[in-house]
Amino acid sequence: MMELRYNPLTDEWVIVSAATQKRPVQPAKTQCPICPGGIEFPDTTYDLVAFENRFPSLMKNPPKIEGKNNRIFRKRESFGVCEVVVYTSQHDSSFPQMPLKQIEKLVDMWVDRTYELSKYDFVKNVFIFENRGKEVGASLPHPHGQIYAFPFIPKRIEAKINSMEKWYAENGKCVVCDVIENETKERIVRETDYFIAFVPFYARFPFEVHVYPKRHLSTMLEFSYEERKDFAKILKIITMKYDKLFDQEFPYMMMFFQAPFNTKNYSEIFHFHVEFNPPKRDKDKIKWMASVETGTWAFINPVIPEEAARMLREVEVEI
Amino acid sequence: MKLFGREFVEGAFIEKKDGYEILWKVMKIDFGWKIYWKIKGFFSGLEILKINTGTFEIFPFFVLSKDMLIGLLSPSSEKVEIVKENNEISFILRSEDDSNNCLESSLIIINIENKKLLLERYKEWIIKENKIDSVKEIRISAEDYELFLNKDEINTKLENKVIIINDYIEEIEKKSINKLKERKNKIFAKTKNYLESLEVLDGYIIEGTIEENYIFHNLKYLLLLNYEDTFEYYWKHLFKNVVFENDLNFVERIINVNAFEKFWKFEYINNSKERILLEISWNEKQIKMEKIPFINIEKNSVLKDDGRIFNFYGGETK
Repeated sequence: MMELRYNPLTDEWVIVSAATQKRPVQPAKTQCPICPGGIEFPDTTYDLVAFENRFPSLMKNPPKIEGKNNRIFRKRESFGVCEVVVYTSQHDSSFPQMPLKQIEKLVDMWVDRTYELSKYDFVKNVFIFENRGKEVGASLPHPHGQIYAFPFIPKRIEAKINSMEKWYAENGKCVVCDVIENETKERIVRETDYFIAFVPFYARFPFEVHVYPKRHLSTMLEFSYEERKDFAKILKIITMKYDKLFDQEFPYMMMFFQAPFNTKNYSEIFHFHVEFNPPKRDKDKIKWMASVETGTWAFINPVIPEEAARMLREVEVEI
Repeated sequence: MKLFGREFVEGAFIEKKDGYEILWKVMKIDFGWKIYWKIKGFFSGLEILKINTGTFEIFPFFVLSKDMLIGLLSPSSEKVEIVKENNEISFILRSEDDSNNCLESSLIIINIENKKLLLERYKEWIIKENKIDSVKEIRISAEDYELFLNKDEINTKLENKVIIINDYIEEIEKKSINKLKERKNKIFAKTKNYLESLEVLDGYIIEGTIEENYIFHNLKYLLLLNYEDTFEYYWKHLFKNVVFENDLNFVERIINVNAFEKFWKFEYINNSKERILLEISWNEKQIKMEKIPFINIEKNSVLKDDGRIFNFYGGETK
């Protein structure tokens, strides 16, 4: 069973996919499916690779929907693409441990995947992400991320677009450009030539960090070669700082927000950005997405953003 | 503020002068005033409006401060000059010949504390006043395209072409322009006054200030020849309606722009999702366009037996 179901209470689409139940969870290193020699690469090795998930939620050729559609219970075929993006063949590495050169190649790969996936007319949003650590549901420890090429604009991205449009109409400029211009030193974690990373004024998670390109860019396709290298650098810096903050492999959700494709042009109002949403609120404490956060989208952040920024800023890392 | 030498007040007025008669109306609109006038008879120079200089910047057809815009509304306003003298700015109506004139036109005064909104509101009024439709797509193919470096190279026998003139439309004989228009050519050129050239040109070679271009983007096609780094953010917004020959596709997203006086190049993604590098040399009359790869690393795609595609990447980045 694989289909999209419409929720008229929230005006959003839900992906139903029984196949995802079969995904392996934390297999032993010798059983890692994405290591060279593993089930996905039985007789090959690789440097970096992006491939369609064996247990997808969305497919280029999804099965026909079962049963009838009606006015209330609407469903659609699950058009889309779910890719696994393997950062390196080194099972025991991790994003912050990877050489900068490898992350630069990864950025190139992300750009190419965005480009290739945006060619499908049914793709409206290319969402690149990494779940790191069991705390956020990562099923494999091998360094990897994923890409969901959605056939619709997911609800939270839609909310961002609506807010960005509203800000643009009222203020005559992109909201992120405006935030960057007015951001204060107390929340900045690190700044490079082309990017700025800070704990936002409006952080929802205790050590949430956002990375914004200083230039107004709406998708990764617009990155210059220099910006790609600089992007690799700032992502490595932030993830290294995370690991050093409590001297542990710091779990996080790393999410890239790009303007939609194959629909209305939002490039003027939408500013590409990255959100790191780490679940930890202290070395051994988790900030759970519990009833209030999940049910209402209202967040209670127990760490003052300026304090979190100071802590991260003071963690020194060398790349 | 003085209107035809009198205090600025709402209403309709008629005044007879030596040899001519003025009718003017001052109407309240959202965020300001619209002023309409009609003048019959002979005159050489007539002051329509006079204001204190304040912080106003002067453009060919409007003046702008941080919270006010006063602008002419139609190409027939070509006879109006904006003149700064001492601490005052005047809108002066000039008469070109000795015949009995009957001139009518309008200007608008908008008062909003937001420069962008001032320009947008002004644009809305220009659209309304001149009954402009939104820009329609012009598809240009290689054989339809003519590139001239200057006004002397114009061949008025051309038909159904897109003619890009790297010169000011004001410096080209009106007869030549009329012939080209009669033969259904589309004309892109520079202009000293966007408003004045509204009816003549199909597209502007970007020449004026950011403010002028801002008003006219989406009203006409804009073609970029000169580029200044400091305006990058704004220029990109103006690119929406830019078209380029020998690529049948339209510019969808600009990635990077580098432009110099006689040579410019930029990267863009077209609507077929190809990454294009475009180089134009105005000295050599050459346009070079090539598809370029998105990435610097090697890529190899393999279709597996189960129908899934595996994309292998690697090698060294440049």
